[in-house]
Amino acid sequence: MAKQDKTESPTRNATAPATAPRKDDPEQTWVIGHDGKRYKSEDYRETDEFKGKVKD
Amino acid sequence: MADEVKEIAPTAGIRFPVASRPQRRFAAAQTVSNLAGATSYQPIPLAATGFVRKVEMIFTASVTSASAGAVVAGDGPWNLISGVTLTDATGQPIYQPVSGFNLYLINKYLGSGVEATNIPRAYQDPHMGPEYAYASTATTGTAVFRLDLDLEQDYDSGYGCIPNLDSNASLQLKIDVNASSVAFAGTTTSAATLSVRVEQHYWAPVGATVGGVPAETAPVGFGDFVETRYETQAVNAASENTVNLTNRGGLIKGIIAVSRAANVRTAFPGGSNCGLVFDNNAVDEGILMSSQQDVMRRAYGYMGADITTSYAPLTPGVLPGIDTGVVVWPFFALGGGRDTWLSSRVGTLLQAKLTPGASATQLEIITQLAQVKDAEAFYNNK
Repeated sequence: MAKQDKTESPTRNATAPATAPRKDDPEQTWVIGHDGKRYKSEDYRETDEFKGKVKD
Repeated sequence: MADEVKEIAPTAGIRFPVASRPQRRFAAAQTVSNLAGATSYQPIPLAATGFVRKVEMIFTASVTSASAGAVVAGDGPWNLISGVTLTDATGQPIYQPVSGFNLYLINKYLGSGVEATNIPRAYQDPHMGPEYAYASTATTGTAVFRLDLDLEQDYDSGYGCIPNLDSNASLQLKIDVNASSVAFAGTTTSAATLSVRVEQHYWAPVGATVGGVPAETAPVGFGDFVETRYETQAVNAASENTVNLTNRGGLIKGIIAVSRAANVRTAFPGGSNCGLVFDNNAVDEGILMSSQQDVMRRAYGYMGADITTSYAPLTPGVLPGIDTGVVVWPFFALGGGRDTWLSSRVGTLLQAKLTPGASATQLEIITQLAQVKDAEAFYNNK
Protein backbone atom coordinates (compact mmCIF):
# COMPACT_ATOMS: atom_id res chain seq x y z
CA MET A 1 0.00 0.00 0.00
CA ALA A 2 2.81 2.38 0.86
CA LYS A 3 4.37 1.90 -2.56
CA GLN A 4 1.08 2.65 -4.25
CA ASP A 5 0.73 5.92 -2.33
CA LYS A 6 4.12 7.11 -3.51
CA THR A 7 3.23 6.63 -7.16
CA GLU A 8 -0.19 8.31 -6.87
CA SER A 9 0.90 11.23 -4.79
CA PRO A 10 2.76 13.33 -7.40
CA THR A 11 -0.10 13.02 -9.89
CA ARG A 12 -2.68 14.05 -7.37
CA ASN A 13 -0.70 17.06 -6.27
CA ALA A 14 -0.10 18.21 -9.82
CA THR A 15 -3.79 18.33 -10.68
CA ALA A 16 -5.20 19.48 -7.32
CA PRO A 17 -6.81 22.92 -7.39
CA ALA A 18 -5.25 25.73 -5.40
CA THR A 19 -6.67 25.63 -1.91
CA ALA A 20 -5.59 29.11 -0.83
CA PRO A 21 -8.62 31.47 -0.58
CA ARG A 22 -8.94 33.99 -3.36
CA LYS A 23 -8.57 37.59 -2.33
CA ASP A 24 -11.57 38.88 -4.27
CA ASP A 25 -14.29 36.30 -4.68
CA PRO A 26 -16.50 37.51 -7.54
CA GLU A 27 -19.51 35.90 -5.90
CA GLN A 28 -18.99 37.68 -2.57
CA THR A 29 -21.75 40.20 -1.82
CA TRP A 30 -21.29 43.37 0.19
CA VAL A 31 -23.22 45.90 2.28
CA ILE A 32 -22.43 49.52 3.19
CA GLY A 33 -23.66 50.06 6.75
CA HIS A 34 -25.09 53.25 8.23
CA ASP A 35 -21.66 53.63 9.83
CA GLY A 36 -20.16 53.95 6.34
CA LYS A 37 -18.18 50.74 6.60
CA ARG A 38 -18.27 48.09 3.89
CA TYR A 39 -19.07 44.64 5.21
CA LYS A 40 -19.32 41.20 3.68
CA SER A 41 -23.04 40.41 3.70
CA GLU A 42 -22.62 37.58 6.18
CA ASP A 43 -20.53 39.76 8.49
CA TYR A 44 -23.07 42.58 8.35
CA ARG A 45 -25.67 40.24 9.84
CA GLU A 46 -23.57 40.10 13.01
CA THR A 47 -23.44 43.86 13.53
CA ASP A 48 -25.43 45.71 16.19
CA GLU A 49 -26.87 47.86 13.42
CA PHE A 50 -28.38 44.85 11.68
CA LYS A 51 -29.63 43.40 14.95
CA GLY A 52 -31.35 46.66 15.82
CA LYS A 53 -29.37 47.28 18.97
CA VAL A 54 -29.50 50.98 19.69
CA LYS A 55 -26.43 52.71 21.05
CA ASP A 56 -27.21 55.87 22.99
CA MET B 1 -98.14 56.96 -8.21
CA ALA B 2 -96.05 58.92 -5.78
CA ASP B 3 -94.61 55.85 -4.13
CA GLU B 4 -94.00 54.09 -7.40
CA VAL B 5 -90.31 53.60 -8.05
CA LYS B 6 -88.91 53.25 -11.52
CA GLU B 7 -86.05 50.82 -11.69
CA ILE B 8 -83.46 52.22 -14.03
CA ALA B 9 -81.19 49.22 -13.41
CA PRO B 10 -83.40 46.23 -12.67
CA THR B 11 -82.14 43.62 -10.26
CA ALA B 12 -79.65 41.47 -12.07
CA GLY B 13 -79.58 37.72 -12.25
CA ILE B 14 -76.10 36.31 -12.59
CA ARG B 15 -73.59 37.69 -10.10
CA PHE B 16 -70.87 39.83 -11.66
CA PRO B 17 -67.89 37.59 -10.80
CA VAL B 18 -69.74 34.66 -12.36
CA ALA B 19 -70.71 36.53 -15.51
CA SER B 20 -67.31 38.18 -15.84
CA ARG B 21 -63.83 36.67 -15.79
CA PRO B 22 -60.57 37.71 -14.12
CA GLN B 23 -58.16 38.70 -16.88
CA ARG B 24 -54.71 40.25 -17.18
CA ARG B 25 -53.07 42.51 -19.71
CA PHE B 26 -49.58 43.77 -20.29
CA ALA B 27 -49.58 47.56 -19.90
CA ALA B 28 -46.07 48.92 -20.38
CA ALA B 29 -42.35 48.22 -20.14
CA GLN B 30 -39.80 50.98 -19.74
CA THR B 31 -36.17 51.33 -18.77
CA VAL B 32 -34.44 54.43 -17.43
CA SER B 33 -30.87 55.18 -16.46
CA ASN B 34 -30.66 56.39 -12.87
CA LEU B 35 -26.87 56.63 -12.88
CA ALA B 36 -26.65 60.42 -12.94
CA GLY B 37 -29.53 61.11 -10.58
CA ALA B 38 -33.26 60.94 -10.04
CA THR B 39 -35.49 60.53 -13.06
CA SER B 40 -38.99 59.43 -14.07
CA TYR B 41 -40.60 56.97 -16.40
CA GLN B 42 -42.82 58.34 -19.11
CA PRO B 43 -46.37 58.54 -17.71
CA ILE B 44 -48.11 55.23 -18.35
CA PRO B 45 -51.73 55.36 -19.52
CA LEU B 46 -53.36 52.06 -18.63
CA ALA B 47 -55.34 50.90 -21.65
CA ALA B 48 -59.08 50.54 -21.15
CA THR B 49 -59.72 47.00 -20.02
CA GLY B 50 -62.52 46.57 -17.49
CA PHE B 51 -62.81 46.78 -13.71
CA VAL B 52 -59.24 46.96 -12.46
CA ARG B 53 -58.37 44.69 -9.54
CA LYS B 54 -54.77 45.75 -9.21
CA VAL B 55 -51.85 47.18 -11.12
CA GLU B 56 -48.70 45.11 -10.77
CA MET B 57 -45.21 46.54 -11.26
CA ILE B 58 -42.10 44.41 -11.63
CA PHE B 59 -38.83 46.30 -11.20
CA THR B 60 -35.36 45.15 -12.21
CA ALA B 61 -32.28 47.16 -11.25
CA SER B 62 -28.81 46.60 -12.62
CA VAL B 63 -25.69 48.48 -11.55
CA THR B 64 -22.10 48.08 -12.79
CA SER B 65 -19.09 49.44 -10.89
CA ALA B 66 -15.34 49.08 -11.28
CA SER B 67 -14.89 47.92 -7.67
CA ALA B 68 -16.08 48.26 -4.09
CA GLY B 69 -19.69 47.51 -5.01
CA ALA B 70 -22.18 47.07 -2.13
CA VAL B 71 -25.83 47.49 -1.31
CA VAL B 72 -26.62 50.44 0.96
CA ALA B 73 -28.15 49.58 4.33
CA GLY B 74 -31.56 51.11 4.90
CA ASP B 75 -34.69 50.99 2.77
CA GLY B 76 -33.22 49.56 -0.43
CA PRO B 77 -34.18 48.31 -2.92
CA TRP B 78 -37.65 49.80 -2.36
CA ASN B 79 -36.21 53.31 -2.12
CA LEU B 80 -35.15 53.15 -5.78
CA ILE B 81 -38.74 54.28 -6.38
CA SER B 82 -39.28 57.80 -5.08
CA GLY B 83 -42.95 58.10 -5.96
CA VAL B 84 -45.86 56.20 -7.44
CA THR B 85 -49.13 57.93 -8.31
CA LEU B 86 -52.27 56.42 -9.79
CA THR B 87 -54.97 58.78 -10.96
CA ASP B 88 -58.44 57.84 -12.11
CA ALA B 89 -60.14 58.93 -15.30
CA THR B 90 -61.00 62.33 -13.84
CA GLY B 91 -57.46 63.03 -12.67
CA GLN B 92 -58.25 62.32 -9.03
CA PRO B 93 -55.43 60.43 -7.30
CA ILE B 94 -56.43 57.00 -6.03
CA TYR B 95 -52.91 56.53 -4.76
CA GLN B 96 -51.42 59.82 -3.66
CA PRO B 97 -47.69 59.89 -4.38
CA VAL B 98 -46.17 57.25 -2.15
CA SER B 99 -42.57 56.15 -2.14
CA GLY B 100 -41.51 52.67 -3.14
CA PHE B 101 -40.72 51.86 0.47
CA ASN B 102 -44.13 53.02 1.63
CA LEU B 103 -45.77 51.01 -1.14
CA TYR B 104 -43.84 47.99 0.10
CA LEU B 105 -45.35 48.64 3.56
CA ILE B 106 -48.83 49.03 2.06
CA ASN B 107 -48.48 45.71 0.24
CA LYS B 108 -47.14 44.03 3.35
CA TYR B 109 -49.62 45.36 5.91
CA LEU B 110 -52.72 46.44 3.97
CA GLY B 111 -52.90 43.78 1.29
CA SER B 112 -56.18 43.40 -0.54
CA GLY B 113 -58.46 40.57 -1.37
CA VAL B 114 -57.96 38.74 1.89
CA GLU B 115 -60.17 40.25 4.57
CA ALA B 116 -63.31 38.28 3.73
CA THR B 117 -61.48 35.38 5.28
CA ASN B 118 -60.64 37.51 8.34
CA ILE B 119 -57.09 36.21 8.07
CA PRO B 120 -54.57 38.66 6.65
CA ARG B 121 -51.95 36.51 5.04
CA ALA B 122 -48.22 36.81 5.13
CA TYR B 123 -47.84 36.13 1.45
CA GLN B 124 -48.73 39.67 0.45
CA ASP B 125 -45.21 40.67 1.52
CA PRO B 126 -43.15 41.69 -1.55
CA HIS B 127 -39.99 40.70 0.35
CA MET B 128 -40.94 37.02 0.19
CA GLY B 129 -40.42 34.53 -2.59
CA PRO B 130 -37.58 33.22 -4.71
CA GLU B 131 -37.94 35.86 -7.39
CA TYR B 132 -37.00 38.71 -5.08
CA ALA B 133 -33.33 39.76 -5.29
CA TYR B 134 -31.20 42.46 -3.74
CA ALA B 135 -27.42 42.04 -3.59
CA SER B 136 -24.18 43.46 -4.89
CA THR B 137 -20.85 41.87 -5.62
CA ALA B 138 -17.76 44.08 -5.91
CA THR B 139 -18.74 44.98 -9.48
CA THR B 140 -22.40 44.11 -10.07
CA GLY B 141 -25.54 45.17 -8.22
CA THR B 142 -28.90 43.55 -8.85
CA ALA B 143 -32.44 43.97 -7.55
CA VAL B 144 -35.71 42.37 -8.62
CA PHE B 145 -38.94 43.16 -6.81
CA ARG B 146 -42.67 43.51 -7.34
CA LEU B 147 -44.98 46.17 -5.98
CA ASP B 148 -48.75 46.20 -6.39
CA LEU B 149 -51.30 48.95 -6.44
CA ASP B 150 -54.23 47.07 -4.92
CA LEU B 151 -57.72 48.31 -5.70
CA GLU B 152 -60.05 45.34 -5.25
CA GLN B 153 -60.97 44.74 -1.61
CA ASP B 154 -62.85 41.48 -1.91
CA TYR B 155 -62.03 38.90 -4.52
CA ASP B 156 -65.33 37.14 -3.91
CA SER B 157 -67.31 40.04 -5.30
CA GLY B 158 -64.90 42.40 -7.03
CA TYR B 159 -65.82 45.07 -4.48
CA GLY B 160 -63.56 48.10 -4.72
CA CYS B 161 -62.46 47.64 -8.33
CA ILE B 162 -61.92 50.81 -10.32
CA PRO B 163 -63.50 51.14 -13.78
CA ASN B 164 -61.10 51.59 -16.66
CA LEU B 165 -63.51 51.36 -19.54
CA ASP B 166 -62.91 54.49 -21.61
CA SER B 167 -59.77 54.67 -23.72
CA ASN B 168 -60.11 58.46 -23.81
CA ALA B 169 -60.06 58.73 -20.03
CA SER B 170 -57.95 55.86 -18.79
CA LEU B 171 -56.18 55.35 -15.50
CA GLN B 172 -52.74 56.91 -15.49
CA LEU B 173 -49.67 55.68 -13.67
CA LYS B 174 -46.70 57.87 -12.87
CA ILE B 175 -43.50 56.45 -11.41
CA ASP B 176 -40.54 58.52 -10.24
CA VAL B 177 -37.12 56.97 -9.73
CA ASN B 178 -34.31 57.78 -7.32
CA ALA B 179 -30.62 57.74 -8.19
CA SER B 180 -29.11 54.26 -8.01
CA SER B 181 -26.78 55.48 -5.26
CA VAL B 182 -29.61 55.33 -2.68
CA ALA B 183 -29.48 51.54 -2.89
CA PHE B 184 -26.11 50.67 -4.47
CA ALA B 185 -22.61 51.94 -3.75
CA GLY B 186 -19.47 51.39 -5.79
CA THR B 187 -16.34 52.98 -7.21
CA THR B 188 -16.58 54.36 -10.76
CA THR B 189 -20.10 53.21 -11.39
CA SER B 190 -20.41 53.05 -15.17
CA ALA B 191 -24.03 51.99 -15.64
CA ALA B 192 -27.22 51.91 -13.61
CA THR B 193 -30.62 51.08 -15.04
CA LEU B 194 -34.05 50.41 -13.60
CA SER B 195 -36.67 48.66 -15.68
CA VAL B 196 -40.35 48.40 -14.96
CA ARG B 197 -42.97 46.14 -16.42
CA VAL B 198 -46.59 46.96 -15.67
CA GLU B 199 -49.50 44.54 -15.84
CA GLN B 200 -53.20 45.12 -15.20
CA HIS B 201 -55.40 42.61 -13.41
CA TYR B 202 -59.09 43.22 -14.09
CA TRP B 203 -62.56 41.81 -14.36
CA ALA B 204 -63.72 41.76 -17.99
CA PRO B 205 -66.76 43.89 -18.85
CA VAL B 206 -69.93 41.91 -19.42
CA GLY B 207 -73.19 42.63 -21.20
CA ALA B 208 -76.56 42.90 -19.51
CA THR B 209 -77.34 39.32 -20.42
CA VAL B 210 -75.32 36.15 -20.64
CA GLY B 211 -76.95 33.49 -22.79
CA GLY B 212 -80.22 35.37 -22.53
CA VAL B 213 -80.08 35.46 -18.72
CA PRO B 214 -79.82 38.88 -17.03
CA ALA B 215 -76.43 39.52 -15.45
CA GLU B 216 -74.85 42.17 -13.26
CA THR B 217 -72.78 44.51 -15.41
CA ALA B 218 -70.56 45.84 -12.59
CA PRO B 219 -69.20 44.59 -9.26
CA VAL B 220 -71.37 45.02 -6.19
CA GLY B 221 -70.95 48.47 -4.64
CA PHE B 222 -69.67 49.81 -7.92
CA GLY B 223 -68.35 53.34 -7.37
CA ASP B 224 -66.96 52.65 -3.90
CA PHE B 225 -63.20 52.67 -3.73
CA VAL B 226 -60.30 52.68 -1.29
CA GLU B 227 -57.87 55.55 -1.59
CA THR B 228 -54.35 55.83 -0.23
CA ARG B 229 -53.26 59.03 1.47
CA TYR B 230 -49.90 60.15 2.72
CA GLU B 231 -48.83 62.86 5.17
CA THR B 232 -45.75 63.76 7.16
CA GLN B 233 -45.70 65.21 10.64
CA ALA B 234 -42.88 66.91 12.52
CA VAL B 235 -42.52 65.37 15.98
CA ASN B 236 -40.31 65.69 19.01
CA ALA B 237 -37.73 62.95 19.35
CA ALA B 238 -37.71 60.54 22.27
CA SER B 239 -40.81 61.95 23.95
CA GLU B 240 -44.50 61.19 23.66
CA ASN B 241 -46.23 63.14 20.91
CA THR B 242 -49.93 63.51 20.34
CA VAL B 243 -50.18 63.66 16.57
CA ASN B 244 -53.32 64.94 14.87
CA LEU B 245 -53.87 62.79 11.80
CA THR B 246 -55.24 64.67 8.83
CA ASN B 247 -55.87 61.56 6.72
CA ARG B 248 -59.50 60.96 7.59
CA GLY B 249 -62.98 61.25 6.12
CA GLY B 250 -63.91 57.70 5.22
CA LEU B 251 -63.79 54.16 6.55
CA ILE B 252 -60.17 53.65 7.53
CA LYS B 253 -58.79 50.25 6.60
CA GLY B 254 -55.49 50.77 8.35
CA ILE B 255 -52.84 53.28 9.31
CA ILE B 256 -49.09 52.86 8.93
CA ALA B 257 -46.70 55.21 10.74
CA VAL B 258 -42.96 55.34 10.06
CA SER B 259 -40.52 57.04 12.44
CA ARG B 260 -37.44 58.61 10.87
CA ALA B 261 -34.32 60.43 12.04
CA ALA B 262 -32.68 62.24 9.12
CA ASN B 263 -34.48 59.84 6.78
CA VAL B 264 -33.20 56.76 8.63
CA ARG B 265 -35.95 54.51 10.01
CA THR B 266 -35.70 54.62 13.77
CA ALA B 267 -37.22 52.15 16.21
CA PHE B 268 -40.13 53.17 18.43
CA PRO B 269 -39.08 52.28 21.99
CA GLY B 270 -40.82 49.02 22.89
CA GLY B 271 -41.71 50.28 26.35
CA SER B 272 -43.33 53.49 25.16
CA ASN B 273 -47.05 54.19 24.96
CA CYS B 274 -48.91 53.48 21.71
CA GLY B 275 -52.24 55.24 21.93
CA LEU B 276 -55.06 56.14 19.62
CA VAL B 277 -57.71 58.75 20.37
CA PHE B 278 -60.92 59.14 18.37
CA ASP B 279 -62.98 62.30 18.99
CA ASN B 280 -61.45 62.58 22.46
CA ASN B 281 -62.31 58.96 23.28
CA ALA B 282 -59.35 56.73 23.91
CA VAL B 283 -59.44 53.76 21.54
CA ASP B 284 -56.13 52.37 22.79
CA GLU B 285 -54.76 53.73 26.04
CA GLY B 286 -51.87 52.53 28.15
CA ILE B 287 -50.87 50.00 25.49
CA LEU B 288 -47.15 49.36 25.13
CA MET B 289 -45.55 49.66 21.73
CA SER B 290 -44.31 46.10 22.21
CA SER B 291 -47.95 45.00 22.58
CA GLN B 292 -48.89 46.76 19.36
CA GLN B 293 -45.96 45.07 17.64
CA ASP B 294 -47.24 41.74 18.94
CA VAL B 295 -50.63 42.51 17.36
CA MET B 296 -48.83 43.18 14.09
CA ARG B 297 -46.87 39.94 14.24
CA ARG B 298 -49.91 37.80 15.07
CA ALA B 299 -52.25 39.52 12.60
CA TYR B 300 -50.13 38.62 9.62
CA GLY B 301 -47.77 35.91 10.79
CA TYR B 302 -44.67 38.08 10.48
CA MET B 303 -42.96 36.11 13.25
CA GLY B 304 -39.39 36.32 12.00
CA ALA B 305 -36.67 38.60 13.35
CA ASP B 306 -37.50 42.28 13.01
CA ILE B 307 -36.23 43.74 9.76
CA THR B 308 -33.89 46.56 10.61
CA THR B 309 -31.54 47.88 7.97
CA SER B 310 -31.25 45.07 5.44
CA TYR B 311 -33.72 43.78 2.87
CA ALA B 312 -31.42 41.00 1.75
CA PRO B 313 -33.49 38.09 0.41
CA LEU B 314 -34.91 35.90 3.15
CA THR B 315 -33.43 32.44 3.47
CA PRO B 316 -35.98 29.88 2.16
CA GLY B 317 -38.25 28.82 4.99
CA VAL B 318 -37.52 31.90 7.11
CA LEU B 319 -40.52 34.06 7.98
CA PRO B 320 -40.27 37.81 7.57
CA GLY B 321 -40.51 39.98 10.64
CA ILE B 322 -42.09 43.36 11.19
CA ASP B 323 -40.13 46.42 10.14
CA THR B 324 -38.16 48.52 12.60
CA GLY B 325 -39.58 52.01 13.03
CA VAL B 326 -42.96 51.01 11.61
CA VAL B 327 -46.21 50.75 13.56
CA VAL B 328 -49.49 49.62 12.03
CA TRP B 329 -53.09 49.89 13.15
CA PRO B 330 -54.73 47.14 11.05
CA PHE B 331 -58.39 47.99 11.67
CA PHE B 332 -59.42 45.65 8.88
CA ALA B 333 -57.87 42.69 10.69
CA LEU B 334 -59.65 43.20 14.01
CA GLY B 335 -62.93 41.54 13.14
CA GLY B 336 -64.82 39.62 10.50
CA GLY B 337 -65.53 41.15 7.14
CA ARG B 338 -65.20 44.93 7.00
CA ASP B 339 -67.09 45.62 10.23
CA THR B 340 -64.09 47.00 12.10
CA TRP B 341 -62.83 49.54 9.58
CA LEU B 342 -62.66 52.80 11.53
CA SER B 343 -65.50 55.07 10.45
CA SER B 344 -64.25 58.65 10.33
CA ARG B 345 -65.65 61.93 9.12
CA VAL B 346 -63.70 64.85 7.70
CA GLY B 347 -64.23 66.59 11.03
CA THR B 348 -63.16 63.64 13.16
CA LEU B 349 -60.39 64.35 15.64
CA LEU B 350 -58.08 61.40 15.17
CA GLN B 351 -54.91 61.40 17.23
CA ALA B 352 -52.02 58.99 17.65
CA LYS B 353 -49.86 58.95 20.76
CA LEU B 354 -46.38 57.89 19.82
CA THR B 355 -42.81 58.19 21.01
CA PRO B 356 -40.43 58.30 18.07
CA GLY B 357 -36.98 56.90 18.72
CA ALA B 358 -33.76 58.77 19.46
CA SER B 359 -33.32 61.83 17.23
CA ALA B 360 -36.43 60.92 15.21
CA THR B 361 -38.27 64.09 14.30
CA GLN B 362 -40.25 62.95 11.29
CA LEU B 363 -43.31 60.78 11.18
CA GLU B 364 -44.67 59.47 7.90
CA ILE B 365 -48.33 58.47 7.93
CA ILE B 366 -49.93 56.30 5.29
CA THR B 367 -53.67 55.75 5.49
CA GLN B 368 -56.02 53.70 3.36
CA LEU B 369 -59.63 54.69 3.60
CA ALA B 370 -62.76 53.67 1.75
CA GLN B 371 -65.13 56.13 0.15
CA VAL B 372 -68.44 54.36 0.47
CA LYS B 373 -71.80 55.16 -1.08
CA ASP B 374 -73.23 51.66 -0.86
CA ALA B 375 -72.99 50.78 2.82
CA GLU B 376 -74.81 47.48 2.33
CA ALA B 377 -72.20 46.34 -0.18
CA PHE B 378 -69.42 47.48 2.13
CA TYR B 379 -70.65 45.65 5.23
CA ASN B 380 -72.45 42.69 3.72
CA ASN B 381 -69.42 40.63 2.78
CA LYS B 382 -69.26 37.67 5.10
